[in-house]
Amino acid sequence: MGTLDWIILAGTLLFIVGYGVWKTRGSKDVDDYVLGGNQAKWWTIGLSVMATQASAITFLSTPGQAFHDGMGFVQFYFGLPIAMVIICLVFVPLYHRLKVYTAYEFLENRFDLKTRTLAAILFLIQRGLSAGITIFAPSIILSAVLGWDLRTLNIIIGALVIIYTVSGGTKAVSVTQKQQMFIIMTGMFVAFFFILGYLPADITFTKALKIAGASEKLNILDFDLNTTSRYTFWSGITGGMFLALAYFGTDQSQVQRYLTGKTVRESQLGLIFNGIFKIPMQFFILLVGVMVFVFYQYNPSPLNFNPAATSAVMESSYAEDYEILEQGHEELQTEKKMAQDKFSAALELREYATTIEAKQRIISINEKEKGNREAARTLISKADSSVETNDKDYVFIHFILNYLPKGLVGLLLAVILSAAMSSTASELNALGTISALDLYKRNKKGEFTPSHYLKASRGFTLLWGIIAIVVACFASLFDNLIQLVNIIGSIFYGNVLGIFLLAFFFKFVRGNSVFVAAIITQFIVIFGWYFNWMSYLWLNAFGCFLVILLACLFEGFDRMLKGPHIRA
Amino acid sequence: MEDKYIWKKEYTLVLILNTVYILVFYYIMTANA
Repeated sequence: MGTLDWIILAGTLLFIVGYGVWKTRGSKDVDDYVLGGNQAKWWTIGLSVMATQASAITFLSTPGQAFHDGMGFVQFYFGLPIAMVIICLVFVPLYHRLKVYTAYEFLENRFDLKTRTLAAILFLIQRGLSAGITIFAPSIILSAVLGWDLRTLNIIIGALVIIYTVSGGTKAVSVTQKQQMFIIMTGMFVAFFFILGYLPADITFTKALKIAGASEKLNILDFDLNTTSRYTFWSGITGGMFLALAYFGTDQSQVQRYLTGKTVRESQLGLIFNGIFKIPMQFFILLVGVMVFVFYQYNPSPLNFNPAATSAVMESSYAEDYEILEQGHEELQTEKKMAQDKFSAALELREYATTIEAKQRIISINEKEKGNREAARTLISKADSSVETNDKDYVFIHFILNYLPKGLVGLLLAVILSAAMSSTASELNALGTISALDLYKRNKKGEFTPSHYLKASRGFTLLWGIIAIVVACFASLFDNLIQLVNIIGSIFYGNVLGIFLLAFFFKFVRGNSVFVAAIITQFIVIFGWYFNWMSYLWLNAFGCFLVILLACLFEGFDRMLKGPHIRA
Repeated sequence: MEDKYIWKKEYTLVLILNTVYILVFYYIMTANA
């Protein structure tokens, strides 16, 4: 990192924080603080929704995902546009008509206070934990590659977010997210064109795509019906839609973004914006990863991109074995470069047979390289089982730090930290709102002034910010914490979505049945997870269907026990 | 509760555009296979 990088990084982040505070100073009441005075235009909502979902891990991990496994991950988002249309049709008009501040307020309107409180508590548990991880995940990667202190980085990211989120509330979150999205997309486009510029002179973009295709990195669509394949067209359309419906329709960190809309139409257009641009954005980020892959066909790459993993194995008794693997890796890279040159020349001359031959050679070298990397991961695990051996999160940052010019490194680090801040800000904003309005205001007896609730909202946002930093600082004490948070999310998400679907589509079901069904469902889902009934991702669907089924059954029994209505 | 769900032209646009994206992906995949 040079001085120019530091100036660009610090300047960008401080400008965003300063602008966010200045632009949104002096919130008058809760309405202003929580819903931004309902002044947001559709493009602000759209950008805010996208910035909330795209965390730092999106920009660190997704290119690495494409580097190793190709672009199939984009299928995960195929259900999102359908979910956007459903939310625009059903959720948004209802939330606006009832003038709710939070998604769970609607549940009280439809059912009762206890159902609202239960859903709010379930949200606070899962979102409170994941806010810490949103800060921790980029910190651990940046501290590993840059040697920065992990805790200091956690505190810096958390403190910057707290400053403008506590000060300006929802409006500050939206205002800063617009700039963050601008920085993020500018940085990614600049990086993309730099990668293309770094390719050998005879490799055009079209040829780079052919090279990526020859290594099976452009297998974007998989229509396999096998449920064990993680990313397929079918799992994207069904599972992806289901998850997007739960996330965008019932998670306050997203709901609060479109509740700020000036009108129902502005909110709907904001979500439509997300439905139109989300898949191209993810495709582009994956394409950046594929171009990084093409770049490393002509340039040396490490056997494992995580520097902490490499030093762990080099300081162990497995160092010699690892060096042998590294030697093999270097030889493969030379072979690969030759095969790529042959493939490229054959493409140029349109020699079909030679192209196929060179392609087969590349596939065979890639297989060997994959085996080599796998063997390296096994050695690293043996040397130190606590080190992360999966290096996909480190591929893009390795490229940034080693190949991009001074100044651009600072810009790309600003991209990563901006993404971390934009997601965390929405999470803290939602956590503060739910605590202040769904729990504190609704359950505390007595009459208070609007400024009292404004102070309470600010206080709770600050409190959750501190909790998030603490969770981030202690996250490294747990093994595979990111997966743990995903598991916790899956345990609660299905149940909450089920409650909302009951509210929307099962008009005969009343509050008591839903509340009892939700409690029982939650215990059964936790029980099912503990005894490993199914992969944790399926708990989402299981929880959703179970709560709907139980609530309908209870309602039916209740009506039956009360006896048939006697008509005169 | 909302009884009528009003379909708007932009919803059709979202669905059509995303279908086009998938067709483009299919083309990119097969053209570079």
